Amino acid sequence: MSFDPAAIRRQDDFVLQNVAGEHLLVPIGAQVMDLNGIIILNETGAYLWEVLAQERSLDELAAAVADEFDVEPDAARADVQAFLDEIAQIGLLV
Amino acid sequence: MSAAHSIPITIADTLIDLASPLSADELGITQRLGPFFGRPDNPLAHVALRWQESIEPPIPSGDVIYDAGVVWRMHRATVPGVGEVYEAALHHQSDSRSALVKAVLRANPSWDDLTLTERRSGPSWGSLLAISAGELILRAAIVLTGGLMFHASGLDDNGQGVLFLGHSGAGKSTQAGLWRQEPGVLVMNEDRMAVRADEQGARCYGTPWGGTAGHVLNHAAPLAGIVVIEQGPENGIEPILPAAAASLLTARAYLPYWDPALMRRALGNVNAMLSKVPVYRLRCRPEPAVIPLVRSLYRTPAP
Repeated sequence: MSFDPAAIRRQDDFVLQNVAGEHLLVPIGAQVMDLNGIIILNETGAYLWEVLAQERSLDELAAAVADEFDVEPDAARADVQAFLDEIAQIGLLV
Repeated sequence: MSAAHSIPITIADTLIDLASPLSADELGITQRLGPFFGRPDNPLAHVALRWQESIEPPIPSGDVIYDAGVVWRMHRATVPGVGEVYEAALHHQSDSRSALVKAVLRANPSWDDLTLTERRSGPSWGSLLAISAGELILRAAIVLTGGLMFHASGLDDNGQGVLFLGHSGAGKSTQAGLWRQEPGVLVMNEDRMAVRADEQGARCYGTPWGGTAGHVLNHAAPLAGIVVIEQGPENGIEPILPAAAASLLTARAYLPYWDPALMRRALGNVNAMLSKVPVYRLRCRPEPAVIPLVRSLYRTPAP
């Protein structure tokens, strides 16, 4: 795990927008040079991105996803963990 | 110096109303921008632009918020009595990153009140308005009226506009060369096209900033389709669903990476374009057989 499960927050310098049904995450400012690309998020990823505007714990995020998408807590936690691992790897978490 | 010259420049229905103490010829902008000189009755966007000379190399104010590489860097500053401004520090394209700033383009957040400050240097000097500064102005200003600039070639095929998108080397210029031979076809630009969407549909426009071939036309056409080119062993064309086309179009657009509010508008414009214009993937060899394949998308076969 490459993040602190008690305090997770995303980088601010991005715009997330639904374009023709696709959730596009576009970097702004200095992030453009570091990332050099546009990221496509699925429904869960887009939801988590919005929630991560404020600092959250892994437990809070898993509970939020379980509630929002009506899935089992264990499955939600696994999904959240996978998403966070992925975005942490490309530097999208603070 | 007072602004003795009023030089209206209209690109993609965007009027850039230039006021300058120097004439267009003295600024060195006539060759590239001359075909775009003129004032339409009802422009869709209006930009007031003052040109002023600086004896010293101009210095942008504020912090760098986005670095586009060797061509320009964007600063943001709060100027007393003016408010928040963007200042683009422009270099000549052939210069290195460490070169002196050649020009500073100051813009208000809505990109309709601009000042370009430049230092003249040498007998062959020409204003960056003809190249990077002008391109940056259109790139930003068009976003606020439903438009975007794309890395694309574009043509008017007997009244039907077609845009060809693709990465560098994918064949945009090759396509333009093939189509140029066809009766009733006007190639507007091989490298930089503008597109604007509204309730009725979308329209594509040639811009002054072409690629190496330098073929540019001040011309517009209703946009019938956007074609994403991929080189392939066999010719074939297929529709791309809007959701799948979203990232393809966005990646080929010149986006306002310095301003989140403008970026939201830009992405909204991509969304509007995708609701009005079909997008296709063309796999092709560089040969004339591609032309009827593309035309089959918007032409009804003759009985």
